[in-house]
Amino acid sequence: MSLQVEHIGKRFGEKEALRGVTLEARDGEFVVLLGPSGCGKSTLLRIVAGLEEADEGSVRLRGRDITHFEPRRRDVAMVFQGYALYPHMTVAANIGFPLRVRHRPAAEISAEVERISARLGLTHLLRNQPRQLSGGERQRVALARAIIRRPQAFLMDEPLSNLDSRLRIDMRAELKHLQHELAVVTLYVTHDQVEAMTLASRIAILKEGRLQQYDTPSEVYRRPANLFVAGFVGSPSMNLLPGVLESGVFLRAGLCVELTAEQLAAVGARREITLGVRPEDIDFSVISHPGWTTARVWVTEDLGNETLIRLAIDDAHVTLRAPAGVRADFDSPAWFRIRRERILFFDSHTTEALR
Amino acid sequence: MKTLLKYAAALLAVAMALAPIYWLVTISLKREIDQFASPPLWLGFTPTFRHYAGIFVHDAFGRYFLNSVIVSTGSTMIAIGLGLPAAYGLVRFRWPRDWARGISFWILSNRMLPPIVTIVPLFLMLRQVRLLNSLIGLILADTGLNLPFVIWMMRGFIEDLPREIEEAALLDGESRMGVLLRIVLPLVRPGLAATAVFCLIVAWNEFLFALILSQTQTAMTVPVGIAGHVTQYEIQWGAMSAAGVVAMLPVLIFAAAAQRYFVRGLSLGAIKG
Repeated sequence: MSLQVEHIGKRFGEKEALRGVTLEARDGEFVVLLGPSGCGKSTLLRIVAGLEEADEGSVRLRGRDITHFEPRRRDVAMVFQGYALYPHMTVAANIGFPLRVRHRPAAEISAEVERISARLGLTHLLRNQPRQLSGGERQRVALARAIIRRPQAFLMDEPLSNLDSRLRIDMRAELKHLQHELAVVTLYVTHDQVEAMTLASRIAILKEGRLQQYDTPSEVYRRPANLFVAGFVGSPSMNLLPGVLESGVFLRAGLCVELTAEQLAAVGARREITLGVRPEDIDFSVISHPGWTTARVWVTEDLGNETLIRLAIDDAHVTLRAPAGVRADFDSPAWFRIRRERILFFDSHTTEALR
Repeated sequence: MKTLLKYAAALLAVAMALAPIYWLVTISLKREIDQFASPPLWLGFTPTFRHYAGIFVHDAFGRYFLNSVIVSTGSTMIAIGLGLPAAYGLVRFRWPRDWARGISFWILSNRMLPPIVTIVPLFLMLRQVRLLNSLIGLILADTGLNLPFVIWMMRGFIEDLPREIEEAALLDGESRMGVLLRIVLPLVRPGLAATAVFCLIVAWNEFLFALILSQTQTAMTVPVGIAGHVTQYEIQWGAMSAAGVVAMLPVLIFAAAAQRYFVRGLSLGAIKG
């Protein structure tokens, strides 16, 4: 294991920021910490960086216990949301700073700065001051400064969130490739689930200071551990419909679904359960089919490559993905069928997934 | 019309500010007989440099001047050297509860105390360590005057720096002291320069400590030297004015040199950049 975080707890006065968070990452793994603001993901990153001290638990990097190390002794590099470039230094001095602090020979520093800046396309900017750069360029300088000294781990705190959306998508791909090239374990904080899905080899989802699930993007997507994860990951998000189980059938106003034997076994004796289904696991039709459920079209959103349709069933909405070109008027009648084998059930009280 | 009024008002303000200085300079250049001429001689008098020669030849004014330079730069350097790290510690270190605030206010309260309240204990303490009538004693006294000011000014400037920049430096391998010297110091330099100029001016003009703590010429400073021209029998207006003009010069030079920093320093943090 490259990075191990064990039983981390942290309080800020009355507020509990983290509780019993344990996760580990292999060499070269790209781990994304995902959660809404205030979930403790940045605090966890700062504890690994040494900028905050955990009240309990330990942090190990390549077998070294670094829990009580000063930041500079940890051999980790960090990229900040605001880039945190040194405003009084040129781009070249910014990038070379970590080597200069380590008293490396000047010739080596300038050679490394040349190499890294060529790799990130910054060569023509080396003499500039940070304030003369655009957001994307600053981001690259911050990355260059992080990778120049080949640290044992990268820590990134929402590094893309200050960029405009197109640039963000380009930088995202570039960052992912760069991380693959460097093969250094990376801990990356974001509240953007698309960013998490696209970048991560594993996603750690946090809510109110507790780890909800830690798994690969596809597992998190297909088999969310609880209602929170189910609702947070995926866009548009999973349809979650609370209801009751009566003699093997899930019931709620406007909808009844028969459970498979496997699902029944998982649900057991619970009565109040929540049905979860992804928008792509619902079929849609404007004409009636036997066994399909009827609903009213609430709104349609044409995305060009597909159409998102939001149906009103009784007091709830159900979102589904339909092929491009599907048309339906506001408030017109429509029919849908949920693919039974793709349904997930959750305990409505504990919010845990039932499987 | 409006602009005209504005300029008239500005001109009046400038005249009010400059008139005493003009009077000081002309008196220092007038013979005694012209100094109290009535009506006053604004321009038509024969200038003489007698008073300037006098203060340097008869009064050891050069000595006072040198003393003032040593005391004011010495105390400013010590106040900055101690005040900057103190301010940094107060702003950035983790203190139990609101100790940082409490300590800051205690420091400020030292400055609020009228200096005359401290003069007797100060006199006794310096006598005990044999630093009366010495430049070092005066430097220490003036440092006490300036240190709270430096800490409070620098606290504000440091608070305005983004914390992320310092954290980046910590992770890049800097120690706390390295962050202070290589990241914080360059970034607060405008504020530091403005603060230093204030300190220099305060120490340069400081009269009370200099008067009481140095009874001999060894450590006598310019303001005390000037006051020496008010004697039991006469007031030596010419010599006093000449000394005043010379005493004024360094302050003008400091202010001019640091003017660029002054404006930036005082408005630093007003706009986040």
